[in-house]
Parts: sequence; structure tokens; C-alpha cells
Amino acid sequence: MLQSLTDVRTKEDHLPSQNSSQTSDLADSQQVQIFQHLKKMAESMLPVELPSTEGNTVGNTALIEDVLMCILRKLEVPDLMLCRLVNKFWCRCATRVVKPRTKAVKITRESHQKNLMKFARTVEGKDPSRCLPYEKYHIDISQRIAQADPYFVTVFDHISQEKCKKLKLIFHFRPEVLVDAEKAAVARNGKMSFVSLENLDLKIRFYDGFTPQFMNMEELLQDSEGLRKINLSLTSYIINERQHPIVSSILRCFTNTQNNFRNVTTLGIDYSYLKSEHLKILTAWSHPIKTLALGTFDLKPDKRVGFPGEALTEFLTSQKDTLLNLRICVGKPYEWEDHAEDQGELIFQDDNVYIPPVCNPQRVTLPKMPKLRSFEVLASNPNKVGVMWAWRLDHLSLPETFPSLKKFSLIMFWYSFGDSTGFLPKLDQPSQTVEEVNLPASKDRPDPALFHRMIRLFPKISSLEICYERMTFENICLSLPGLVKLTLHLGEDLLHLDSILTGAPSLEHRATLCEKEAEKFNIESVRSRPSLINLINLEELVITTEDYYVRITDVTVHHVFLVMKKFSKLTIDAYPWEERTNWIISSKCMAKLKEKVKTTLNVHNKCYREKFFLP
Amino acid sequence: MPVVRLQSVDGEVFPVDVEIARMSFAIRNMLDDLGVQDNDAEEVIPLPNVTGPILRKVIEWCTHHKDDPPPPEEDDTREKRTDDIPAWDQEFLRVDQAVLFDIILAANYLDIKGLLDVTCKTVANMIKGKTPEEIRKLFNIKNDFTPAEEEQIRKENEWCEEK
Repeated sequence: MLQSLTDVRTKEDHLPSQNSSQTSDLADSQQVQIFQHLKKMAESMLPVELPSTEGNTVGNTALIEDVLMCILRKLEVPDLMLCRLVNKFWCRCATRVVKPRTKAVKITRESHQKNLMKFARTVEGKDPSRCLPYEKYHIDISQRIAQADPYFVTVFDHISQEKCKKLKLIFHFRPEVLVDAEKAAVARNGKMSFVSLENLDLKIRFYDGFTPQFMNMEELLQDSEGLRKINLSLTSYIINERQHPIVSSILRCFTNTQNNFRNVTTLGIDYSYLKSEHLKILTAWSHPIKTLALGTFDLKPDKRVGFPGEALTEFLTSQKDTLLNLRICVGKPYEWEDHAEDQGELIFQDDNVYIPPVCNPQRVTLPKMPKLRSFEVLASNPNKVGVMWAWRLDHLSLPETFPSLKKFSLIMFWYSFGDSTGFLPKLDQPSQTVEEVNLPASKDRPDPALFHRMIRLFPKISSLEICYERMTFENICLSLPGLVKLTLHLGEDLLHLDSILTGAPSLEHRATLCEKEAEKFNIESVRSRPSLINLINLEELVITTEDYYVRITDVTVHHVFLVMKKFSKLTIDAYPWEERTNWIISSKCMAKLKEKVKTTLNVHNKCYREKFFLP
Repeated sequence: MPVVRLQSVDGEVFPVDVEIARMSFAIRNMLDDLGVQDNDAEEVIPLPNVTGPILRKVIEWCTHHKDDPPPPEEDDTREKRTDDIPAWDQEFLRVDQAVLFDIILAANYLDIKGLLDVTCKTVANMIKGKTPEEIRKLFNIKNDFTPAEEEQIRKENEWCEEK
């Protein structure tokens, strides 16, 4: 029992007595030894002097750095920004706390507010590793410029010094800038270096006049042992045979110096017209890759620039024992700019149909990949009857080819042909390992056969992503009680969201009921279809939308989300086509919802399809 | 219940249940490293950085929270909440600012995560929503920035966006 706090005795009361009897001498001696041990240990473990706190006073108390950091960690980013302005000590501590919590600084030439010149003036002469509250940069120079830009040189020199953790570079400029940046580095008695770089996301848009001076990159990345991930996205809107050797040179630059990248385990390569020669270069990559994404535009094989089957097989075979995640994209899933075609930049004719290579038994044989956990195929714009046969994955046995597979994704965009039964492999043997299935196909063409084939192929499914189609959704609600996570892509159908989730006709509760009325609303009297509440094990719902208005009424909250016992997470991922401001979850009882369900609304500044591409 | 005796820098000695004393990871490590068992732990542990009044407060807090589950690990991705301070703790920490900071330092020094957490939340609540000048005034902090340096920090802040 703890003695009363008032029962305080002095030090002398408890020190071993010097006058104790002979019989207790031995015990006393041991006690003295233990006390001395404790004192010594206390002094060594708990420093007698607190660390120097010169100038770090709060009131009359000196605050050591650890303690102030501990306090600051409890604050949100806006408060931390203000704390940086208190004094130098607070600035140093708040900067360390806020740095991992800030987004990559996005610098674009086109932006009026956050332009390159302004950022260059902000960072000029600053040590990027110590004093700036950010460490990740996304540099997007999306305008063609005729000559090296001094502000870009300043920024590039700044971020290439050290401690730049993540860098996403979008090149659309003459690469001579790199040479100038290197000169700037030499001028400050330094060198360009990415020794701390973990993630290189390099995007180059080819244009007439692009020269191979880009090869400076080879020297630039020579000390990149910290690099874990490389994404190369090489885009061209114009078919130009002269580009292929340049791409080969770039890829060879990476493979020839691959010892610099021995820690890279994630590799993404996207080139508009990927050819066999490019994949053969990649086959020389000897370090184990765990996550691989390959992408190309769609072109007919007879143009000799279609996705090369045999070379792909060869490349995959070289990595088959280590690959955990494989993503193959044919067709362009993002940055499909409608206006580009009008401007004559984008060549995409009706007969340029894509042929997903893994779906074509005559072109590609996938090697057995014993460790592969995730297999994703993305395809877009299939519009030819003649190649529909090639879509089918009949030849592919998931259990045999991928015995450890957990996640299977077949993602189709702009699908506009009726033979949707080609969506899934016709397998005799279902996969007993796959738990996550993603099939966000085009919503324009419902696929009545999809559901039945999916159930047969993936009996262990617990997580499903699918585009909303009424019959399929209702079948899912009735027959997949084991579903734990459902991602529903609704396109622009959010106006009917309530009806989809409650199973009641949409007009029944589109009225703006107040919270009390919503509670009293007799949903059962109007419910006419299976709905989300049939999924008794559902814990998480993700709604993906390309609309700009999210509307969930109190009726849905009360009669769906609040009555589902295991339901605990609702996420709305919005990928708007255009920038709008009125993102609303228009429930009046959001507070009640948030008590039970973690609710998040994410508005992404990228296209929905982009999320599927490079890792 | 076996006790250990904690000795403050000013010589006060506080007999404390071993289990309560072990809420301090610093003391726990000392006892473990020394191999002091519960039944022979009636030793005096000197705490050269904590005064008697503050140690008394620390022991009071530990005694009240002795049956609490261990606090979760710090996780940067977790939602930062400071509005969940229990009523007892709020009352307990209704003290002078100097005392509050001494308790924080003691909690940090003795490595008592729960106490450090709740005291830091209390101070964080005092900071929230305040301007830099108000924070300086609140904690009697001297501004050692030049106007140019302050302007530079403001420029840097403009580029920050929360994840």
C-alpha cells in the first residue's frame, strides 16, 4: 500500500545507520552498497545537469528540446507554422515536427501564386536539410522553354544538395538545364547529388528537338544508394522513330549503372511505344524487383510498336522469383487529354486498338511467379470486335501461375463493346488465395455475367472494387456476406447514391428530411431492393466518384451506416473532372455518423485513372 | 506491498509502492538493471532533477493512474487529439505555469509517458489558435528573430500544405 504523501521522511531516516548493531552490520553494508549503486545509476541514467537550454526559456522554466518537441507533436500543421515564428529555438523544433507532415512542394511554372521564381527566391541560399519545413518536391515544368531558366537552376541546385527525400520531376524542357544546374553547384563549391533521394519519379515529354543530353542523369544518380523507387514515364504525342533509340539510351543509362540502384525494389516504366528492344535492355537489370509496372500506348502489332510479347515474357522470367506486385498497362489510363487530339498532338486512330498481351495466349506466356501477391492488368479504349477474342484470359490459370496471389485487378476504361464476358478469365480452377478483387470497368456497359464469374473464380473474396451496376450490385449485396471492404466506383451517379445504398426508390427520400424525421422514416416500407445492409460483415465502404457533389442524406446515415454493426469506415474519394468547390456530404447528422464511423472525404487533384498506373 | 523510496533533489524521501514507481521507465530500468526484487526494494533512489513538491505531484498522478492501461505508441499518422484530457487530470494540472512545466520536465526525466502526454496536451491547448506574439507573451519568450529572418520564415510557410 502506498504510504500517505504526507508521510514524508528525511533522507537521514532512510540512510543506513552508522550505529547499527553487529548483527545488522552485514545487511547494512549490503544496503549501503545498493544505495551507492542506485545513486551511481541514477546519476548516469538521469543526468544531473539538464541539457543546455540557453535561450529556451518558457516563463522561468528551461525547456529542453525533447520536451518542446513533445508538446509541438500535439499540434496541427497550421499551429506549427505559427510556432516556427516564435523564436529560433521554437522554429528549429517546429520545423522538425512539421516536416514529415507536409505535402511535397509542388512547383509549376504556370501557377500564378506558387511560381518558380517565388520559390527560387524563398530557398536561395538556404540549407534544405535543416531549416525548411518540407523535404519533398514535385517540380512540374510543363511549359516548353527555349533556354535554361535561372530560377529553375536555383531550385534544382537547392533540391539536389542533400536530404531531399522524395522528388518528382516532370521534365518538359530542354535538359541543358541540368548542365547549368551543375555549374551552379560547382559555383557554390558543391556538387549535384541525390544521395538521400528515395523516390525518383521522372517524367519526360518528348518534343521535336529533344536531344540525348539527358544522359547527364547517369552522373547525377551515381550515388543514389538510398533510392528505393524509380518511375520513368516517357511520353510522346507524336510517333517518331527517332525517339526509340533515345529511350533505349535512357534505359541503358539506368541498367549500365544499376549498381547505383541496388536498393531499388520498385520500378515503373511507361513509354508510349514500348518495343522489344527496350524490354531486352531491362532484362539486364539484375537486382531483384519486388514491384514492377510496365505501360505503353496502344498500337497494332503490325506497326511493330505494340506491346512486345516475347520480350515481356523474357523480362518477367528474369524477375519471376522475387516479384510481389505486377502491373501491366496497355492503353493510356491517364493524362488522356481530350483537347490534345484537336491540337493534332495525339495520334489515335480508330484502328489503333490495343491488345492486352497477357490476355493473348499467342503472344505472351507468363512464367510461374511463386511469390506474386498482386496482379493487375489495366487496359483502355478497346473498340474493335476483331480483337475481342484476344481479351480472354482463358489460357491463364491463376492458381498455377500465381499460387500466392492475394489481389487480382482487371481495370478497363472506356470500354464500349458489349462482349463483357471477356472481363474475367474463364478458369476451371478457382483461385483459393485471392482475397481482393478490383474490377472497376466502364460503367457504360453493365456486365450481367460478371458477378457470377467472379464468385466462381474467387470464392475467398473479402475486398471488392467494382463499378456500380444495379444488378451486379444487388447480387453482391445478396450473395457476398463475407465482404469486409467494398469500393464502389460511381462515376457521376452520386445523385442516386442514397437510393443505391438504402435500396429504396430514390424519390422516397431525396427530400431534405430533418434529423428527427430521418430517424422516424420507415425505410422498410419503401425498401424494394437488396442494399448495403445485407453485407453484415462490411467494415469499410469506399465510394469513388468523378462528380463534384457528394450527397448522403440523413436517411442513409440512420438506416444504413448506423445500423450496420461492423461498419466503421467510410471514405469518399473524389476525382473531379473539373475544379469545383461544393463538395458536400449533405447529411445533417454527420456528428452522429462520425461518432461511429471514421468518415473521410478526399478530393484528389489527379484523374481517377491515374491512381492505377505507376506505383 | 513492497515500496521503494524516492529521494528528491532537496532531500525529501517519498516511500512509494514499487508498482507505482515502475510507471517511470527510468526507475523501472534502474530496478531491473540492479536486479532489485519487489521484496527487497526498500532502497532509496536519488532523483537529482526533481524537487520535493514536484515529485509529490508526480507520485499523486501515478497513484491515481496506477491501473490505467499502457499508453499507445506515438504514431505520426494518428489523429492529433488534445480534447480528450480526463476531468481529473484537468483539475490536477490546474497549477501555475512554472509548476506545469516542472511536471513536464519531471515526466520527461522519469520517462512517464502518460503524464508527459497529458501535460504536453495541456500546454498544446494553451498554444492552439494563438499568434506567435501571443505565444511569446503567454510563455514569456524573447523573440530573437530579426525582421528579415521573420519574413523569410513566413515565406517558407507559404509553401507548406498539410498532407
